[in-house]
Amino acid sequence: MADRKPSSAEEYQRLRRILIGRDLDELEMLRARLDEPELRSEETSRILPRAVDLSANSSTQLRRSMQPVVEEGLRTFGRRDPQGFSDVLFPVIGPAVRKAVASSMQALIDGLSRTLEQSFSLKSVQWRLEAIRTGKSYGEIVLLRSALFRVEQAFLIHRDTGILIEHRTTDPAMARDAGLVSSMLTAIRDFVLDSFKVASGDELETVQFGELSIWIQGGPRALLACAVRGSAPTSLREVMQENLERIHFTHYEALEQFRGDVSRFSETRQYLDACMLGRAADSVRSRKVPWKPLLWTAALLLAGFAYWSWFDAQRWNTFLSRLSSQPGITVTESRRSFWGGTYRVAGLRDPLALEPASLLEGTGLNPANIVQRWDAHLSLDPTFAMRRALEQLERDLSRTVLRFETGKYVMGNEEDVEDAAAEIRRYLDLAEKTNRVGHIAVVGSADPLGPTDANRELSRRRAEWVRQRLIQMQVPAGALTEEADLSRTALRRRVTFRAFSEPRAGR
Amino acid sequence: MLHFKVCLIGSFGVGKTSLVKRFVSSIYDDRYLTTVGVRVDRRELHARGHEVTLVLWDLAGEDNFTSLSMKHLRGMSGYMLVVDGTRQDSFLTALRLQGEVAAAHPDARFVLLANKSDLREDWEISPEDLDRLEKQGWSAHATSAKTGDGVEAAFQHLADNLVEAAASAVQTA
Ligand SMILES: Nc1nc2c(ncn2[C@@H]2O[C@H](COP(=O)(O)OP(=O)(O)OP(=O)(O)O)[C@@H](O)[C@H]2O)c(=O)[nH]1
Ligand SMILES: [Mg+2]
Repeated sequence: MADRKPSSAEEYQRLRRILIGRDLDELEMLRARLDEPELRSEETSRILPRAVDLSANSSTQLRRSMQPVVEEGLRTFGRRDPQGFSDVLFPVIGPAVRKAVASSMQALIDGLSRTLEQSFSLKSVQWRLEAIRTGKSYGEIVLLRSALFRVEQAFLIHRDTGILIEHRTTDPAMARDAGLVSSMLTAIRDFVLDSFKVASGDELETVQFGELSIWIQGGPRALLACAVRGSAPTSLREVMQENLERIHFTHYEALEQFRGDVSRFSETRQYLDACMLGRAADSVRSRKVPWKPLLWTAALLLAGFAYWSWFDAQRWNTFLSRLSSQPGITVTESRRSFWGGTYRVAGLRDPLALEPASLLEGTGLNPANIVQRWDAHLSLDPTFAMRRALEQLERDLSRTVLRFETGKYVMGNEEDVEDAAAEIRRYLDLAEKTNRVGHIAVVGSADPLGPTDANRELSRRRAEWVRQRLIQMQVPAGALTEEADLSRTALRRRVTFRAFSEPRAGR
Repeated sequence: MLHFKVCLIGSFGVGKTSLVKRFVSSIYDDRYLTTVGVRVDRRELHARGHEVTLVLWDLAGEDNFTSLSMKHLRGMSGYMLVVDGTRQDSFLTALRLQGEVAAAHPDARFVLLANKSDLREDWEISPEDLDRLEKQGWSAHATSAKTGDGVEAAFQHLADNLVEAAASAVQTA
């Protein structure tokens, strides 16, 4: 077979090589490239991005084919590593959910803004300026500023270890124990989550100690806790959440690889500071008992009462001393109520003594507030003995009657007149001794017979005649007055006397 | 500034709380008040040229871990296995706990403390037991919270270890 002519097949091959030898090599190479997976992957990878770009632009086919693959991939990821999956979503989902909630909150806040718009005050102007400056809504600012609360401390806590990464406080004295607080908070949180069988994903959100509460916001790698005094608005939680998300965004690696080195987190301070909201502690604390003003008020009240009490005692004593300087009045008991204003006085009083109420004049005391009890007694005071005698004489005199005959105004027998004159002189004498001025009314009357005018004239003349006689008998003219008694009961032919006395003027 | 979470683990009454008190505030009290839940304390010290804060989680003594105390261990850098030298049972408990903890926290460093060394004559653990453990690579210390013997050294040893571990972790990361 060796010396025979080359077969036509061999000839053909040679011819081919001569004609297209170069191409043949290339063809061989191409076949190798198609068969070699390594090589093909490498090449495909070079054109794939561009191919995807083109396909995505020209039709939706690729998207539709890719969808199930991507979905399945995500599902597997979520199943296999739920923590990792939620870590990835955390910074995304937070803002998304908040945006939805925010839009519904907006309606509420807008309503609030409208209500508040009416109330115009310096404060509201400040808040409006702040709203303009910060780009927040007015209502939101009001929520943050109007409530009485203050964030006193903010803790950034590494979630797994409970170690305090960063801490801000309004009071440096509190900084020392912050590390312990953060650890205990983590322990408490674990305890609650473990003991109360909460649904997974639920969190311990607040711990309350009277006025102080601790708000806890959880993230995948770190917790943010705020110690709040007073009652904070719920918008504080949004602020905490936003800042915790920022911390996760900026420090995710450091948090994940945390090995105890807290010095890598100094930049998180700005986010903690953003949570230190609320008014100054003073204004929150002042909700407690305002001792100073209270004390001042109490002191003023006390001083007022002391003065009133002194003043009231003063005028009461004035009245009492007036009473006891009065003849015929003996005070046996007197009392003033503790608060003043009502009084009680009891004692003995001679019926001739002054009416006690008349002594109240000028004291400012209200007689209605004074309970008085006076037992009557006859005073041994000499002035009262004489007064009693005076009154006796008045009674005697009123019984003295000088009778006249019909139509006459002169008495034949003057003996009765002389008796009367003596009695009158005694009366006036006694009155003078008791410091009084005596008066005698000489009352003439007539019988009803005859004309009235004549009777009146007769009555007057009878009184006039008696008066003249009395004057002649040493009775001072000034003490005597004349009267004509024309009343029906007095219709007799006679003259009577009415004696009375009055205190001497200028006494 | 390095902060490490360190848990104290061991049977009840072995002296965990007493050791923390001795280390943190140099106080010892003969009374026994059993710990409920967890108490956290801390102390700063220097280790391998670093300022270190040990955050000490003193857990309630337990012979078997509940899910809660397992949670308390989360994130710890190291732990102390505490044994009462006068009680053989506390030693066996420690060995069992160590198995569970090491499985869940393979990276955590630990030391074994054989406490109450002041009661040497009543000891039920032999020095050979401890030697054997040291040969396995454990770090074992005899301590007395009562006298303070060995306490400082044990904590210092763990702190040094933790700083090393942190440094190597940073390098490999
Ligand atoms: N003699 C002696 N007694 C000790 C020592 N350490 C602790 N004790 C005593 O042992 C008892 C228990 O100590 P604790 O520190 O409360 O033990 P614990 O491990 O914290 O106990 P639990 O909290 O119940 O787990 C107390 O009465 C301590 O006084 C020690 O070194 N020597
Ligand atoms: Mg204890």
